Formats: sequence, structure tokens, C-alpha cells
Amino acid sequence: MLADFPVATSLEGERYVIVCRDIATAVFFYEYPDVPLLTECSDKESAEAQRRNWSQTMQWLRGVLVRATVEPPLTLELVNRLDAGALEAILGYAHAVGYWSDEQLQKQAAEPGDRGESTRAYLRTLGAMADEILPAPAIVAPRFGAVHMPFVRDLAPNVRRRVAELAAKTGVRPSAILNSPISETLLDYRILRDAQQYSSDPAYQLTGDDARIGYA
Amino acid sequence: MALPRLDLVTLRAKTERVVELSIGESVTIRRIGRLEYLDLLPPMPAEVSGKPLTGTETKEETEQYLQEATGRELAWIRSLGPAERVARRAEMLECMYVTVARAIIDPRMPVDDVRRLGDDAHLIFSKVREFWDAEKNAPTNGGAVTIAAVEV
Repeated sequence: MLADFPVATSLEGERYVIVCRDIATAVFFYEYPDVPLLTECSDKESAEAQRRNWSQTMQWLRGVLVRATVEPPLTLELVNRLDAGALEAILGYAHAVGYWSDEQLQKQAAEPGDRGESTRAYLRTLGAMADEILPAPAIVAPRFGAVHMPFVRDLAPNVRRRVAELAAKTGVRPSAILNSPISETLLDYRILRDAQQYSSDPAYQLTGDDARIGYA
Repeated sequence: MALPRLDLVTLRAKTERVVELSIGESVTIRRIGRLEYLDLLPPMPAEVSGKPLTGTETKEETEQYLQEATGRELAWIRSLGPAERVARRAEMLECMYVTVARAIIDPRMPVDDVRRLGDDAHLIFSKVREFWDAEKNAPTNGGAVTIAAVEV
């Protein structure tokens, strides 16, 4: 689990940091859309469905910031006040917990347009923040909507599938994964997914000698 | 150098304004996020709205997208009958009232009271839009792009 960490944001052109927490997986994926934006599945959908996905994705992203920020404590209204700065903060948070990998970020930074520009701005801030001393853990009162509701409401089918997949691979109950910090879940997911890719590579398979000495 | 921590006092100070009304009173408004505003807008038919921007478009592609979106919207409005056009105008006006009601934080005002503000509601809405000016070209959220389409 990550210690509370700073995330850069901007307000009226000035740079600030907010302090965020590594939240539980279920809390992170609360209200996550079944078809997130900028995925192959999303690209195949109708314009109307894409608009709906866009709206749902934006709602989810703002919700993540409400649930993950511990200093200052943010309500949805305050997140809305941050406007573009909110999405900058979400970019930083998503990268910090491993939702976006370094590779995805570099690819995104090379893109033309607004998304590439904001990613490059984030990467510059990331370098500047390397020496930032981690904040002392903040005490925040647990709120029903942020802590309890994510475990009551149903998760999007795509998240349920991924959680079930991860639970099967790691031999734990899905509820244990949903209770794990999001950074750990994402790290496990990526490592196991990559391992699966390697397993078909002969270089990574066991040899006859391995079998004889008892590794097979 | 460490970046300053954002605190609630700063956040509130930078996102609130006092607006003097024509009736001699004043209200305090807050910044309305562009995404928050876009969520309030009445939907357009699918063939008019088109696919959303992904944020990966070049400047030229974005301009072309805007021109096309504006053209589609204008053509659609022209195609409406008089009654439908009035209904659309009423929907947009209602959206503005809801936005203004959300923006006013002191004194809190329900939408019905905002309607009674008359021209002052439009004044407040123009002040809400001033918050967005500084970030019209902000490199995130696509708000500026969509606002331009909304202005039509």
C-alpha cells in the first residue's frame, strides 16, 4: 500500500498539490463505466453510446478524486470548482496508483492535441516533485458514500470479470481483492497478465532438466 | 522548490465572486466546472452531436470538428418547426437557470427564485462564464472546445 502522496493540480493558472490516498479497489472502481473511453470497444460504439460513455467516464473520474483526496477534503462541488485542474490531478493519481503505466503515459505524451499536452505538463511536474517529502498521513472521517456504498452497489461487468480473473489466478476471494488498495490490485494484475504473455514464449518454459530435478 | 499545498481557503477564494445585482443586492457565486455545465445541457439528437473529441486531435482537426459540429447544430435548429424551436430555447434557458442556481452559494437560491431574477440571471450566468475565460485553452477536459459549440 502506498503512503499518502502529493498530486499536482492547477487553479487559475497557479500550481498546487493536493494529498491523495491509495484507496480500496472497490472504492476506486465505484461507478466505473462498463465501456471506458478510448478503448477498442468504445471506438466501435455509436456516437450516442460514446457520448454516454464520455459522460459516465467523466463522472467516475471526478468521483475518484472526491474519494481519494484527503487534503484538502474535497466534495464533488469542490472538485467541480477545480475544473480543468481536477482532470490534471486525476491524471497524476491514476499514474501514481498504476492505472496508467509509464508506457501508456509516454505514448500519450507523444500524441498531438490536448491530451498529449496535459500529459507532458504532468510529466514535467512529476520530475519537479521527485524530492517532495511525503506528507504525514491525514486523518479523514470515513464517509458513508465513499466507504460503504462502493461495496453495496454493483460493479461494472468488465471490472467484475477482471476481479474474478485476478482472484482465480491468485487464489483469493474476490472480496479480498476489492478490499485491497488499488495500487496493489493493479500491480498484481499487470504482473500476472505479463507473466501469462511470457508463458507462451519457449525461452520461459521449463526444460527437460528442470523436470528431472523436480521443478516441473 | 516544493509546490504549495492547496487548502480550502485558497480554493474557495479563487473560485468565488461577488456579483452586484441591478436590484441593489449582491450574491456570491462559485465557479461551475465546465464538465458540470455540460452535464446540464439538454441532449441533442445523435446525428447532430457526433462522436466526442478524444483529446488526441491536432489543432486543425479540432477546428474542423468544431466547424462541423456547429454546422450540424445550426442545420438541425433550422430544420425545427416554430414550436420545436421555442421548446429548444426553453430547454436551454432552463439549463441556464439551473446553472445559475448551482452557482449562487450565498444566499442559496432555488431555481424558481432564480427565474424571478430576470435579467440578473443572465448577468450571473455571464459571470459564471468569466471563470472559464482563463482556461479556454486549458490542455484538459475538452471544455473549451465544447463551450465554443454551445455558444452557437
